[in-house]
Order: sequence, then C-alpha cells, then structure tokens
Amino acid sequence: MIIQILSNFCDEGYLEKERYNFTSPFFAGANVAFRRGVFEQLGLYDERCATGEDHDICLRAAGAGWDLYFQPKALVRHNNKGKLRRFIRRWFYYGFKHPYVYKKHTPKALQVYLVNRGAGQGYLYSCVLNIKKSPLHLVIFITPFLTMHIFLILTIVTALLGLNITTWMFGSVTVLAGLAYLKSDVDLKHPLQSIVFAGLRYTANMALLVGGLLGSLRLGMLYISGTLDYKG
Amino acid sequence: MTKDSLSISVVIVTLDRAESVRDVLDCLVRQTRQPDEVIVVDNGSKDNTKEVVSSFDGRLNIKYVYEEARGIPFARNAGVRNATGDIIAFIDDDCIADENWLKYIEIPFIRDPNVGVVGGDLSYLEKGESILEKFHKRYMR
Repeated sequence: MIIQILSNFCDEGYLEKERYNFTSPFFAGANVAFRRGVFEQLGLYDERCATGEDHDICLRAAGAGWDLYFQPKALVRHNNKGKLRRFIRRWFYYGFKHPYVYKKHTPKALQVYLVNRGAGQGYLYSCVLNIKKSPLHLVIFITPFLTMHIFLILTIVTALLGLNITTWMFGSVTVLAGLAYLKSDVDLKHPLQSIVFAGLRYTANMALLVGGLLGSLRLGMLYISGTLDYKG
Repeated sequence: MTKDSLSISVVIVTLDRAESVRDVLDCLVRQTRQPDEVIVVDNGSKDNTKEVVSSFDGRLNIKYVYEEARGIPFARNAGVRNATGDIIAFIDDDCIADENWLKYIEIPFIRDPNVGVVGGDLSYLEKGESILEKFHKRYMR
C-alpha cells in the first residue's frame, strides 16, 4: 500500500534486517525482481490478495530470511492516465482489500501507529502501542487527517451540547490538525493548483479510510488506514 | 555460490492495453542487458494484444500466455509458472523501463546469493499534463 512503498528517501542498499513487520517498506509490483529460489521456497503470489500481493510476498520473503535490496538506478517510469471516478474507486479498493494483507501478517492485537517524521530506510510509521492480548483486532494509523476528523466530530458534538469553552478548544485543535494536513499541498506560486491538490488528496484519503473501514469490518476487525502524504 | 551471470525472465501482465504493451516491449528491445525471455500474460484482453506480442518474435525471445482467472496475482503466478530464468523480473503494462533497467536489476543478485528480491525506483512519465497526472507525479511513485 502507498504508505509503505519505498520512497525517495531511501538510498541504494539492503533494507533493514529485522524488518518483518507490517509497516516495513516493500517493492511495488510494477518494478520488482525475484530470485527463482524465493518462489520455490515460499510458493507463488497469494491469490487471495486482490491488491497488496506485492506487499505480501515481500513480507514473506523477508520473513523467510531473504535479503531485499533497493536498486534506485533500475528505473521504471509509470504512465498514470487518470479519470476522477477511477481515481476514487482505486483508492477505495486499496483501502477495502488491504486489511486482508494486514490480518494475514498480524495476529489479533490492538496496535496504534504514529507518523514517523524521522523516517529512515522507508519507515513512515512507528508502532507506539501494541497490546497483544486484545479482545478486539484493531489497528489505527494516527495521522493529521484522522485527528482533524475526530476533533471536528467532537467540536460539533460539544457545540450541540452547548459546551462553549470545550467547543472552542476542540475547534482550535481541528483547525491546527487541518493546517498540518494541508501543509504539504500549499505551494504559494500555484495557489489554484494547491487547492485542487488538497481536494484530490482529501478525496483519496477519504476513499482509503472508508474502504479500509468497510473492508476490515467484513473480516471481523477494524482498520483505520494511513494516508497519502507528500514526502518531499 | 555466486554465478557470473544469471538468466532473466521478464513478466508483463496485461489487460486490454495492446498499444502500451507495444511500448513496454520496445523498451525491452532497447535494454543494454537483454532479457533472456519475455512472458506476456494476457488476463483476458479483447483487443489485439496477441498480435502485438507476435510482432516482436525475432526481436525478443517472447512467449504469450493466456490466463483466464481474472486478477493480478493469478496473472503474475501464470508468469512465474512459465518463466525459466534464474531471475523473474516484473514490469507493469503501463510502464517504460530505463534502458539500463535489467543491467542494474541483475547486479545485486550476482553479488549476493542471499538477495531474494530487488526493487527498482518508480517515477512518472514526463508527458503527464492533466491535473490528475500532475497530482500523481507529486504524491505518488
């Protein structure tokens, strides 16, 4: 999934050892190569992964002790012709199908992830809470997008209840989280483009979030997805 | 034991994108390190994908495979089952590889027998001018 695909802050070389966890970086299926022995040892792609099959096989290979090597000089260019409806459907679908991959690799637990701003080697999120014996299977990626919505709901609820001071407090947090969320879209030289980008990213993130919620409920768990952010 | 050279199969999974498959195959013809085998897995195209693939006979050691079961993992697996190379490299049907793509993919596999997976970099084609294409270029890889 987008949140873990290796990005441009990763230099050539081996991905970290001890990386066998769900938020580890992986290689997108559009540009990846395997030694034959990997398939001979692990079997083929998991055909139950409607998307995320690339994530799954990288996790399995790493878990079996194979090294994963990032070679940025092996460059592939992607042609992404887009229509808006297809764009929304695609992000919904990523969200909807991804909890399967998560569930397959993570035993029942309550996990909370935070954005890792000091990301090295492609790690975008750090696990800050991991309760292994949880009655619920729940995973939450805490992002400005999620924070903004939670505080927006709290603001509306407290306003309806007539709690003025609390409403102002929650409202302020909502605005701050909103600004943090929009920060990556703002380009003062291109104001109109900034607004369109913010709108598109918001749409993609909402589709991802809703898709993840619905897809995970079908599997008897709750998955609050990470978001799509510009990584500089 | 490390070998001095390995054979490479390239697998392309496709559905109804004959013209863009032609572009991918063209970029494979131009590779400085030629693929030993190219497998195009057709996942149910209704267009002339098969003819496009046949037109590369002689320029590439190319194999056309038809996979009925719809879905990317089914099609990728059909590619793996038909591949004979020591390395199986995947590229998507809407991508263009740099001419040194396979040369660089091969190096880590030769150098270290414990390297099981090599991933390359992804970027966007420069021709994208629509706002959605610009968006993808900025936010995604």
